[in-house]
Amino acid sequence: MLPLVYSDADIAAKIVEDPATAPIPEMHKAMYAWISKFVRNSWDMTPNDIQALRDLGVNDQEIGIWAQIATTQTYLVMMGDGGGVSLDDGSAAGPIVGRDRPSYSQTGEGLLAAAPGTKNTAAQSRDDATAWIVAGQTSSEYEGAADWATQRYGFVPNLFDAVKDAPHFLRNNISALELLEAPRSETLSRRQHALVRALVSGLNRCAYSATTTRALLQQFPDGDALYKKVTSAWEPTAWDDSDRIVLAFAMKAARNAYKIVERDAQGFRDAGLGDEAYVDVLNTVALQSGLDRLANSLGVVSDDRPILAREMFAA
Amino acid sequence: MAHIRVITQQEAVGTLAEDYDYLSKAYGRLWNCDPITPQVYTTSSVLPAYFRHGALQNRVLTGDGGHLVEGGPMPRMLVNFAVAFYSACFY
Repeated sequence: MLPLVYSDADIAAKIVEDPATAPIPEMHKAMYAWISKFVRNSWDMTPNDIQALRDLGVNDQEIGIWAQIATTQTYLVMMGDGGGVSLDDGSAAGPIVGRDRPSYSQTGEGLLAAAPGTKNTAAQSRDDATAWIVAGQTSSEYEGAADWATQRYGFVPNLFDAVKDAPHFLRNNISALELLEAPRSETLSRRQHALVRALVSGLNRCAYSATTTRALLQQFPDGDALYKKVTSAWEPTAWDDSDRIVLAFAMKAARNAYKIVERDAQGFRDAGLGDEAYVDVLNTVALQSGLDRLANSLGVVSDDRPILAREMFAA
Repeated sequence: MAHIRVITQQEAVGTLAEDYDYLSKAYGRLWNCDPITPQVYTTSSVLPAYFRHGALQNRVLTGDGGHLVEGGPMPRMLVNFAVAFYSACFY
């Protein structure tokens, strides 16, 4: 991929070593710095991060597109490493940028969060803005997505408004939100699925998603206590065997999917959960992580109600 | 080797077969080779609803398998690379 953009092979090597010091345009450096936060600590992003891109000539529409591309790539990264699938023929990126890269192990590992936490919601946008980027004109694609959301949820989530300038991505976001409503395998329970979503959003310290993940757990007995337990410090012994397998795997997938090994899948089989539940949890982590980072990076203001189908949530 | 059971294109039926067909032809066009589905999608083959999401995501990113939707002040593929880079993604 890099040789397609940078004709000098040495530049590619210098980027892998440290993009901040590589001989590349300032806009490229700014993008790498922005994506570094998106991937590793999106909850620390502020309007200043958006302004830094604007100052280099990146407009709000493009910033929204970058965030959406990063969201989709987040999903692919977790699915690739989490599934343990073979590299495609001719693939060279993995050995260059992957887990064995010396420079990576020197700077830390994956998501910069060892346990779930919370983010200061005051960092979100204010003054009637739904996000840090300025939404553009509506389009037929956006109107269609807004109609769909109104039918399903009873309102249009601020997340839709925030990405109005790149409406073709709304199809992807709608698919993700639909899939996140419930487990898709027979052995992963709805309760466990809801726990995974809450855990992941806690790890990403996503105030935007917290409204939804908390409401999802409140549908179960002791829902508030469950939410508090799963979004607090990770204590494996506090969970029964099945929950522990599911949540420990979700932690690993959300934090550093490149560490996933075949033994993790065997753990699901040994617990009677099976490969389908494994794939269900991995997808839930990947989809939730993508949406959390999208919301964090654009400073999307929390909705006043959860993004749950109306039949699931009585407002 | 994959950590979990996968359903190959040859074994696929129903919506899974449809999505394999779309993806393999889209990537065959992109890479100018025989139809081929990248391994990353096969992870979700045992749960077709997620496999469909992967195919949809590709449609969104490539304009329904036509070409990468480019534009902007910088090659957008670098954003993809950057995410993989900071995720230490081996795949």
